Amino acid sequence: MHTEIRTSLNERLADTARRGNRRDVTTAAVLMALAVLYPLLGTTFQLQLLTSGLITGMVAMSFSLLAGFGGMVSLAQMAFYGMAAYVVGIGGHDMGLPALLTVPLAVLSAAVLAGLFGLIAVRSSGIYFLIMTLALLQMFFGVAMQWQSVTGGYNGVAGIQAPEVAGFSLGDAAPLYLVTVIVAAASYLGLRWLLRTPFGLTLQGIRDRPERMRALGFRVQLHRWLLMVLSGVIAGLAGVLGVYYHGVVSPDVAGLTASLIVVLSALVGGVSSLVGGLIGGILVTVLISVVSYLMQQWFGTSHYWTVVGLIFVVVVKNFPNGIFGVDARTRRVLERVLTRWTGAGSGDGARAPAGNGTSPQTR
Amino acid sequence: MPSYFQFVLTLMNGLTYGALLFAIASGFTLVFGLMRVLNLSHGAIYLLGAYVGYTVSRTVTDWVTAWLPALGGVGWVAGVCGAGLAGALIALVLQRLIRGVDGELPQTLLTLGLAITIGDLCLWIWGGLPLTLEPPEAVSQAVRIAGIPYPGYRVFVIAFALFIGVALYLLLFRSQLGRIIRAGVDNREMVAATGVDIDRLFLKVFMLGGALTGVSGAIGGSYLAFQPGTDFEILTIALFVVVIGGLGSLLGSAVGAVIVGLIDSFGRAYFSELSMFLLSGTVILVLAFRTQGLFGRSVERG
Amino acid sequence: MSALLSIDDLHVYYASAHVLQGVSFEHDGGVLCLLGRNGMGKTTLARSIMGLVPVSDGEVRVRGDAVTNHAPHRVAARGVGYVPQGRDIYPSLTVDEHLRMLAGRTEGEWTMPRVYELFPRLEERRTVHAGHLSGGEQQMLAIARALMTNPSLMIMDEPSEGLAPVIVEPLIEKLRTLAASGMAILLIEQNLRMATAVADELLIMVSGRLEARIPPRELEADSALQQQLLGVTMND
Repeated sequence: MHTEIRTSLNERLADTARRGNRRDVTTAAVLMALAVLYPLLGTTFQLQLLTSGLITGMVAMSFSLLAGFGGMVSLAQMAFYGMAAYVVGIGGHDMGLPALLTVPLAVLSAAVLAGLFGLIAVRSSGIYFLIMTLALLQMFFGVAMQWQSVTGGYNGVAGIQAPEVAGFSLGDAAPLYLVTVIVAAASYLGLRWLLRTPFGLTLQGIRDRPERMRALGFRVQLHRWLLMVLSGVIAGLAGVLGVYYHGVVSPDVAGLTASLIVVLSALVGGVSSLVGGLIGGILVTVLISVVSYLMQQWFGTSHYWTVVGLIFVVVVKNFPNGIFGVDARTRRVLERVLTRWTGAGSGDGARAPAGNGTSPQTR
Repeated sequence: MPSYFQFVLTLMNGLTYGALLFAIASGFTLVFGLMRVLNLSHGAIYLLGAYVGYTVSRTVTDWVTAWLPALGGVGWVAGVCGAGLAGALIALVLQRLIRGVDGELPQTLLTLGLAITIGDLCLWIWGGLPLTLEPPEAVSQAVRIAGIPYPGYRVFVIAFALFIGVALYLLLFRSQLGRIIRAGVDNREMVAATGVDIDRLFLKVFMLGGALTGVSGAIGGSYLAFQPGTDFEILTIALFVVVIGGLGSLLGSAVGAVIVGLIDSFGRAYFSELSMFLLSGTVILVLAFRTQGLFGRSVERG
Repeated sequence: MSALLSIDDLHVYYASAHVLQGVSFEHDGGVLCLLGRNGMGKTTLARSIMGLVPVSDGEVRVRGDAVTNHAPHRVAARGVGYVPQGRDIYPSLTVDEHLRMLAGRTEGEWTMPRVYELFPRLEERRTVHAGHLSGGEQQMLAIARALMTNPSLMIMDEPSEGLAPVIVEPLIEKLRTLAASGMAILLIEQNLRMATAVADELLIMVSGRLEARIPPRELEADSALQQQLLGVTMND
């Protein structure tokens, strides 16, 4: 019955979004070229910092994907990361399976875990969604900690060897950096493409007007669930890269501190932007490195988390939607099109402000 | 009969842990019920309470025993009070920080930052070794329960939780402040529109919750060793308790606390590696059938 | 002497929607009724007076003192009582607790016995949880609660909403009693019967603007005007 409306709605949305894409693509190509050429100039330390930042950035991107495009603020992303990391660690290191097998298995496991978590979590929204995902993250942490015979308990799995790709070991800084750049860029472009498809635009419609989309016959929970699985895949890819970068995986991957870094990165980059997550990841990784260095220099202490926690408080207090919330323009356009196609503005407007145009409060 | 012995002991341990969890979770759930803010620094406040209680208790005990050895227990009491004070103080800071932030999600995220800062400060000040407070002898005499000797302090913990439960019940259901708090849980906008300063109400509830959590830290830290990482552990367990019992419900957190305490205790005793699976499984099972927890009201009011 | 309530060029936005577009009026005693269709900004006006939604521009004054964007409790403390749309009683509190929680907070004639005297039905049901009351009883309770703040002005947002005509009649009686006792009322309504029965004057609101201020008789007599302004007639 609603098929016609839906089709035309989707076309309108896709058309609106397609415009102004070309300039962004050029910018991305230039950035990509710079990123790929960077190993010729950078030191090993810089490359490692960038690699680590991009890995964090991918998890932040998966967070922003859910928060900015699904209205779901999830603290469970590091569980998906951890799942993939543990599968690589246990499969590759403990069981001696080849990377060709463990890596796809790891990403798949992360997706499955996200799917399971999603079954529980997508039924709630807003603050309740956050609580559910936090509880799920803590379950993952608890199981990783206690199930010693498999996970290695508190110490986790150490000494994980990175595989070779085209004759280069991913254990070396430059090859791992290049692979990370490629995977991060591919993830970003893939997500970006997906969000421009009718599927992605439906998702954004659901984020902004869940009731209305439901009334139009869209399967809201299914879409939210699919988005959750997708975010699990991205976080899982990051987990694979992360475990090769660190060579270790322990329950700490699912600790509060790790989640704080992810959320901070996403906020710094702006939750309504995917590329913001990647940029935020790099900025925050560099920031933490600098804070840690300065604390050592000035106070002779390694307790830089005290300061990073406070920085986080300041960021949340002053920029709850991210420092570089770049996508506000796109959202306004979408909102207008949606409103036009789904009927006039909402009632008295007094009781239900229909989202104030910024993601974290969207419920 | 060691198996009977083990069973009763495990049961008692579970009830004791459940009692402590109730004291911890009640402040957590009260703050959530009124403000829709999940205080992610709740575990950190517990841990800080334990550390402050430890230091105050040691200092005062040393000082008092030098003059009046018979009054050594006073040090511990001072430690518990100090812990409550520390908890209330952190809650005060937190409420001030949250006040200017718009929306429950950013407010909740903000508490995450404070949790990390407090946890790291504790590590900085007190180091990484596990510590415990020493409770006074008056409450640590062994008692016999079902023919089995049991540490008296744990019975004291149960009594403490019962006291907290009754006090909170009286506060919520028999006092003027309680009526206003419950009205605020139902509809805080309306409470404000009848002339109640909602920020001051939040501050009171927040500080009450903080004090309760700090005190719980000192009480719990007198028989469960605490160390860096305890903050996350306590936050986890407290969250499980309120999720099972229903967010914002005092009765729910009492029932949830006993359930979680028993599962944890029996899980650790009989399936040591899998107690977390059991606990997680319970949480998932409850949520699968009742998203709002056992005693929660309909959830989607955010 | 300044008017009890004066609104001066009020503007309120929701996201990008301009909900109130320069509303100005004064209210100085009696029953003033704000009429308009759904979505015209009536509830927003009430909420912005109470400080429940932010005002972008313009001023709200109570007895000459600006209360624009003040916290709701400060507006209430100036003597403005609020009976919200949808009643918003507290389902988990008993009838008695609704009133008791406000007892003694303000000075004035409205004490619990006095409120129960006006609403004997509520006294009969004083131990019942408000969630179990009928719609009409909930409305009485919402009014009783506002009275406990001893207001000099009551803002009532669609008290007749969702109530059967047989229940609206006694409600009209109560409002008349209140008005006769000297209480100033700003009544927001869509129900023409209710509005014309109690109001001294009518304000007509269309799309976030005030279109007219007329005596009730004028609207009662003119069904074309009813149709034009409100899309309904008395016979609906």
